[in-house]
Amino acid sequence: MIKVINISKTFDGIKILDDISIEVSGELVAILGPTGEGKTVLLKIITGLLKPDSGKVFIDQGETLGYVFQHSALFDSLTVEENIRLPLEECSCLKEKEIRERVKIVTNMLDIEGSFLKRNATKLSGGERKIVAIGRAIINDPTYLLYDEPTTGLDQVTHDRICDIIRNLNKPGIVVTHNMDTIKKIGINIIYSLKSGRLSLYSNHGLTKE
Amino acid sequence: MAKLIEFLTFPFKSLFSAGKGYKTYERFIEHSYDIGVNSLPLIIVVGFFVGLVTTVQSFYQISNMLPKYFLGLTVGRMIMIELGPVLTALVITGRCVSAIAAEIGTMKTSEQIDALRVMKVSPESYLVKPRILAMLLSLPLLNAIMITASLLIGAIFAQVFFQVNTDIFFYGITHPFYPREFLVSFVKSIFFAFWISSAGAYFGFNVAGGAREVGRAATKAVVVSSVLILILDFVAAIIFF
Repeated sequence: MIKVINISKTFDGIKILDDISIEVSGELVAILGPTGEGKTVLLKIITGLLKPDSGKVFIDQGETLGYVFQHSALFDSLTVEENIRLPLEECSCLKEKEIRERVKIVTNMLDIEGSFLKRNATKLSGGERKIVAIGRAIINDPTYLLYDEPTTGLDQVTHDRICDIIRNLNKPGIVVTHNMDTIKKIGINIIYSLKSGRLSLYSNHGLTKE
Repeated sequence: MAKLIEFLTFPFKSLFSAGKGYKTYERFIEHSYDIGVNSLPLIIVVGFFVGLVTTVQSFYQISNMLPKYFLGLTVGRMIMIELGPVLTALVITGRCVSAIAAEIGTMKTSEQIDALRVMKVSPESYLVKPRILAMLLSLPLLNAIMITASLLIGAIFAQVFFQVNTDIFFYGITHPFYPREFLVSFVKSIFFAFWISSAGAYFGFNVAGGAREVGRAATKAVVVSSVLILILDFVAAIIFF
């Protein structure tokens, strides 16, 4: 379980997050909010990249996080395949054969293969970069996935493809977005709203009927 | 003061950061190729001109006053002890240290360093350790190549234009021969390598902002490295002579 308790964060005298608390266990939840409201800051605090001014984040022992960055954060000097396998190469004790098998499973899930895997990350479109970033985030089979604006700046077809991927992965975690359509397409039921630094429950039955 | 301590401890933290040995080795080879092999043409060209200028200047100073073998002695000492290690380090600072700062800085601004942290990969081990090790290997070797190129072209030029036989020129270089002088050159190179690669990585790591800050980090890395080379050179002169 991810447990965020009374998190506050201030940047340059402006309170970005004000006493935020949220729990995520077995479901994918969405945090909806306009740009600049601190959604990314909240995810970075959960992953430990930023320290909160006050409050705490607890993640159950043995549980791990995968993070899909807003701008993908792929390694430009590496190919698609090298980007996806990097976490296994650097942090796991798996042998080369096992790594290859795991990469194959993930690339099949994402429906990417062949020459695409050999392409350099700099040669990818925005949507392709997002897909590779998802691949890299799931290669270690984390317990939770955090998606930071996974569909921003994408055309409708790519948007729908990424929503399908996220839905089919069926992993608990958090999707932060300003796009209601993304939440609808993924089919997320529990939706929070982050506005003026405060988090509130927006809906616990999705957006399909609204 | 805190920043200075951070800067001074940064390379040691990086070298002792946890990471898979064979992956560090792979990246070490890659960076050694980039710093060492790809810098060879530039180092040889610089070495040639350093050798030519030093020979011409030295001959002008000693001609008609001292025996001819003094030309080899003067050029050899100047290049081996001083110009070789210092100019090699300054050239590599311009070519590689700025690139290290810019590359790591760009990775910082594009969240690639954050991505490593989320993956539980030590960015210091992934990015800094292999670069420092590659510089520690490459710079002394490039220094040796710079010295060799300078002395060879100096000897040829002295024979052709000043009628100083190459045997006499090389006799001057090797008589008297003090191993300490030879050693100093490489010890200096090792210290330069350690600190200039650390400076490049440190300023890259501390970029906050965008493209302009990456440019500034590269500039700072070059300026600080250049000053460090001169300071360390002075310290070495006091310690060894």
